[in-house]
Amino acid sequence: MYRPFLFFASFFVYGIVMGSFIEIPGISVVISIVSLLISIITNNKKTRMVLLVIAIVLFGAFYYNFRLDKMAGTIVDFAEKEQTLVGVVSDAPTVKKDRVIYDVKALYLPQEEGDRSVTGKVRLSSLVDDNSTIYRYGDIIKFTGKLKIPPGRRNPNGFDYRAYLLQKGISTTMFSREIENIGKHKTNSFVAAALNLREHLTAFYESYLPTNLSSLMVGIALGIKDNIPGETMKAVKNGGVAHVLAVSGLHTGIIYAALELIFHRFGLSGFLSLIIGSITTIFYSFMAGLSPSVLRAAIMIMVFMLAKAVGRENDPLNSLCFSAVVLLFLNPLNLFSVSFQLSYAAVVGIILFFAHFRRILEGLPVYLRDSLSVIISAQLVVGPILAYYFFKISLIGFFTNLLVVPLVSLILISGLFSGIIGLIFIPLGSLFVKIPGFLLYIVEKIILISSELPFATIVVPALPPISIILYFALLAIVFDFTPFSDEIKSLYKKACAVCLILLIFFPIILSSGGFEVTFIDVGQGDAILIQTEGRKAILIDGGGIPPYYSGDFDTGDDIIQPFLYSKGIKKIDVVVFTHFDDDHARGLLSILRSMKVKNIIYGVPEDCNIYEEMVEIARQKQIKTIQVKRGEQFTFDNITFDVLNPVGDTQKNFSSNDNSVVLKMSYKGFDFLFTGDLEYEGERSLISSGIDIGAHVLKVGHHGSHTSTSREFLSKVRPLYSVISAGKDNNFGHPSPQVIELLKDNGATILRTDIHGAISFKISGKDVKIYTTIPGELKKP
Amino acid sequence: MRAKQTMTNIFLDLLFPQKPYCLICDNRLTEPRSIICKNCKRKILPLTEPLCKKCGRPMKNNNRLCHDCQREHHVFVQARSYGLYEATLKQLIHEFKYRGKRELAEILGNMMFCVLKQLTWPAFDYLIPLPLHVKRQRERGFNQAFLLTKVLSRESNIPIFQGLTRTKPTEHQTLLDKSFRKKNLDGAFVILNKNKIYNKTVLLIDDVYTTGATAGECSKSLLEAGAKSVYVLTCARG
Repeated sequence: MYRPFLFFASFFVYGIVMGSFIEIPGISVVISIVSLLISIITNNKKTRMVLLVIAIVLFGAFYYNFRLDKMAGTIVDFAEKEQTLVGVVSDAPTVKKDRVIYDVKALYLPQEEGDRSVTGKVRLSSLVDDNSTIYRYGDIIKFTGKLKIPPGRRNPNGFDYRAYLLQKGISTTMFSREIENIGKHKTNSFVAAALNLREHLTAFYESYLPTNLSSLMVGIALGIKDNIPGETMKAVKNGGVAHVLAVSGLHTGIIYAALELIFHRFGLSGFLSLIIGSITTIFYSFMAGLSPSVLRAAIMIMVFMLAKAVGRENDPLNSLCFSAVVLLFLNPLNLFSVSFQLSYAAVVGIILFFAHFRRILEGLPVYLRDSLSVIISAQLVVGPILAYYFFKISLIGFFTNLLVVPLVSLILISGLFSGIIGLIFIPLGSLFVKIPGFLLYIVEKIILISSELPFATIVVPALPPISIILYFALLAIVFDFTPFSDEIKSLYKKACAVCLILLIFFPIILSSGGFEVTFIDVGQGDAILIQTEGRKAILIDGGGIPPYYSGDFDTGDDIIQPFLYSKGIKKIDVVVFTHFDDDHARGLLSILRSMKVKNIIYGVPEDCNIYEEMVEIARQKQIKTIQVKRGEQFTFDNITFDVLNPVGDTQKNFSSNDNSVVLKMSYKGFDFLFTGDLEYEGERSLISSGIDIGAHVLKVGHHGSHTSTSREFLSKVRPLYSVISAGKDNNFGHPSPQVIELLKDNGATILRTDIHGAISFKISGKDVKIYTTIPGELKKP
Repeated sequence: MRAKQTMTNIFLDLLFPQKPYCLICDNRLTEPRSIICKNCKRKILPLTEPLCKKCGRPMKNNNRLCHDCQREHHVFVQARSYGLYEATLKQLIHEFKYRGKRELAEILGNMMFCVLKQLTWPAFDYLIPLPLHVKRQRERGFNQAFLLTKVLSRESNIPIFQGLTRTKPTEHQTLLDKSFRKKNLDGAFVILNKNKIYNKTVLLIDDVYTTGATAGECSKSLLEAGAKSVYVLTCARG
């Protein structure tokens, strides 16, 4: 390892990972410094190496813990209460439809006995209309609302919002209706200028390009993805071209080339062009919001310029590691950010494997050979990481990128050019912007069409980390990055190559077997997944948020689908609509739209949008719809479902909740009762029917509302476990304390998605295992 | 100042580490900072007699002058080079000039110094690097002849004269025919601070000697400016 920064970065990363698992006491800094000092004076090369490694690892671990405390700030001590807070807007605000989001650096809590200064950042959201003012970078604002700690991971392999925000230095969130401007903080004029230019460019594109194209243009030029419609974003991801929406080496490279041209024309000296080039790059990084990918690219291009100026040879791998060290010093949590990992993975892949693939693809035309080599070598490293986080790999990406990347380069050049012209002389700029506009139109078409092709993507179930480590180890061996001698290499290389190929295809074939019932945490609402031994999947309800409330968050697309993919589920055998309330059914609609579904089961039709949409989608995608009523039964593998409700035409006067589809599922003598939103009236009808409703697990009706779960009903069901599916801090006060008391009195173990996150029951033989996503004490009955 | 320089150098060494592999054969280097391995270095052979008395071209027999020099008179006294512009040496100069490996000046300059030591030339007052046009130098970022001269000056303690400049952005000599080369160079060089070299014996330094046209034209300008005599030393010759 002759590359100093490769050496440092490797062990620094190792230290940070270590620090994230175990808290390192402060004394480690002393040990770190002592071993560094000894390593300087020692003459023994081996001793020096070992001591250096110890020093770097310990320092990394310490640094992680040190910065973690500092980043969260003291503001977290005031969370989970109503607070009035004063802070300064620290970034350009994001406006999305009727919402605005500010990242606010907290200054103090105004209190009667004197202001209490606090540290840390708040993500503040508010409603806006055409008349409201939007505050800007540097404004001091005062706002009131419930200060919250953002939710962590609530579903297995699900999104961890708390960690995501903390990576950006944000530790708390707040929704506030009233925001008041009380002053102006002194700002960095360089940053302000960059954010200003970003605003102007965005506004320019928005006024002279059609909306769908302008949002893409802003994404490509500045990495701002907020206004790209959900459908387009999905197509971009499935098409494997999401990287063009992250400002990276492509961008800084183009800016560098443009600057080079100008410098050359004016005959600037090496050092002057280095300085101007660096300032421009840093300015652009601020415009692009300082994402890990743009910082990485900016540092690497500046190192490249420095190499040219001082007449040294740039070593890409060493420069890459140097940039990683800088980024991790700025914020060690960067290491855990998906954007950081993907950006570095792609570049590592290109640096290490590009030459190999160029040799392998020797016979192809130059453009095809080089582009394919870039795509394959990046994909080799990025692929497993994408699979790990998103449970999906784009196959069409190999093809889409060939077309899209050169077009995007042209869009970027012409787009930035026309944007800058447009700032000086609008008519000319608005004329020039037609060029990127036309190219964007083509790119959008390519992406939309290609992402719809069969086999555009493959679903990869959640990979255990060990298989990813194994993958990279084998990759290193096959591509000769191990320090072993040639004789040993030739012995095991072929075997490793075979293992590698097996490993690549293994997870695709493998998906978790065994019987499992999961109550997915969809916030307020119900969603239950049943996986059979024969790998069939049954989904009862799919959560959902009323459309006027959701912004662009979709429970089906954003929670349920990733969860299903993480389980390796590509098609669903039965989707059950217990009834058509938003919090049960809306999430199912997007599942019906974007996944393969064989059958739909429902009870009583309702006169509402969701029912109509369900019928329409079923018609379009030719999904069989089955209306069920009491007395019917269906079986999957060795599981029987008895339909207990609705009764059919006889209870027409029942409310939609009381007409919920109620299912009793039996698996090897173990019974579940899924009640939907059934209330007292429906419960009475069940009891009087004389059907055996006894079950081991009861999904408590209507999210634990006091209008369900009568004492009598409970005495008939006699559950060992009762599961309440309700949203944390929901507006309805679910579950009611009465019901909780009642359940306790009946001796049932209570499991709540609002407390435990997703809850799964795994049953094999006589053995029942219960897993909760958020660990908590479980009392066994 | 000294400390600042070492700090900068340490930083640059960390950021742009020297590869521990030979530039030519890719074998692992045993000595630090050697750039090329001993084996490859040994393969770069110095020119040996018989050589043309004027331009230093290797000859079959002990003729005084080579064909070119018999036909055409050069105004410099003598030109000498370390080796032939081929194989490893050509590769090194290529890396040095066109791929910006400036640290190669050390190796190449030292080879030139070996030649200078063995020659029975008069004591020089100045070393003069063959200039590049400003535009070309900006493109390349450096003048290869100047870097070589710096090494030679350090080793031999002869000062450098920097008054020789190129005013015509001439075509690449390598792309031109022999006859055009001379024409291309007419009046291409201008000398500043002429009094400094008045009646002085000077040594012109360049990386490659091909036809001697450039070196000849330079010498002419230097002699016209009042220099007593001009010698030419290059790293390689074509």
